[in-house]
Amino acid sequence: MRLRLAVFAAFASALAATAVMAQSDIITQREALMKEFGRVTRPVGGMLRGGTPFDLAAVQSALDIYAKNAKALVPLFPEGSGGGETEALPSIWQKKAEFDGLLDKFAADATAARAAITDEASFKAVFPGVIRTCGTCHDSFRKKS
Amino acid sequence: MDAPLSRSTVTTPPATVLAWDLPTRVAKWLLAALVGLAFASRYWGDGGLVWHQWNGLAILVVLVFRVLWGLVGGSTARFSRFLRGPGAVLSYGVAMLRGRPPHFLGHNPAGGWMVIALLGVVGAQALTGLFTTDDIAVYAPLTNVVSDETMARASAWHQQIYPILLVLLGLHVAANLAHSFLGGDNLITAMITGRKPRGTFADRAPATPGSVARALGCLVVATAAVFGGIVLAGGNPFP
Repeated sequence: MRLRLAVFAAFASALAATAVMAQSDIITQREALMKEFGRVTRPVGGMLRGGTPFDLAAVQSALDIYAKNAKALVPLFPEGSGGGETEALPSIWQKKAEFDGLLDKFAADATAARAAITDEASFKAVFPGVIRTCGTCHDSFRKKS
Repeated sequence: MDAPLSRSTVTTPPATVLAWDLPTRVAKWLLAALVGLAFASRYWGDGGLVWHQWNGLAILVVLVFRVLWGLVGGSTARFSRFLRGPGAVLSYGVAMLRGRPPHFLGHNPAGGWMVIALLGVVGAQALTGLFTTDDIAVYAPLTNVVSDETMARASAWHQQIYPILLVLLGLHVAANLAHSFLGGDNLITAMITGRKPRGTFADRAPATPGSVARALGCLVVATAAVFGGIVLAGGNPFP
């Protein structure tokens, strides 16, 4: 009887540990994708302000990463993954459709901009509109530092 | 023949005395305007916050100027003249509660510390701004010389100091309106014209102005300190 209880307890705690690990794992994954957004956007921000010279290839690879990572991010916010070390606000799961909609919009805008941006002028006209969604989403769904 | 006329010119004292020299007034209103513009450029400026960053740099220059002017400027602008101990602040507060506060030509003991608080908080806001990022595409002049953690912390402070500044500004404006329209000591007019009606003041009157040439010297030093400091630290001072 006592043995059975011990076995049950061991199983239960292993299960719980796996759940916690899976959760911290999913948080690490989505943070890595977000950090990649930041890494590729930083030089492009310099191009927008004119501090760094315009580089079409760098802009295009940034847009590719936006589209790819935004799609990959949608399934990384399952119900119940709002605990632990995360900057994700509970509002994500209260307004899941709106949150997913912003990621979809970001991916679609990036794909459209990939085709529309051919030179510096079209870059300066189109790019700010693409990354505006970042701020919109952070304002409603990311923990204020 | 003209003796009576000249005697009357000599014996009639001017109706007002100098309270604030020109550089002090210009720095004061420039700083107020720049802080207002920094607010506007944050919410209605360009997406890259270039305007906002220039605002911040200009604020830093005016702040450094004001600190220098507090050491070598006109008498009422000097820190050593208007900063008084807690006893003086307390007795001023008590006199105020009794409804008969003494009039000061320069800052009163409470107002003097408000000046320091405002300079300190605006300075903290401007300095943290140098290390702030929106974590998307905007990176302030000194973000390239610090770690991501420092950047994140500075960005957080830049947001947290803002409401403190709003509270201080509210107190500052309310106190000046109250003195000017209820207390019979029009501080707002004095800060515009530089003069106050002749009267009995608790501090020395009239004020001794600092020269415009010395003010220009302070301005050059302040500009060099801000832009040179950013370059020396390894940053890019032109947003």
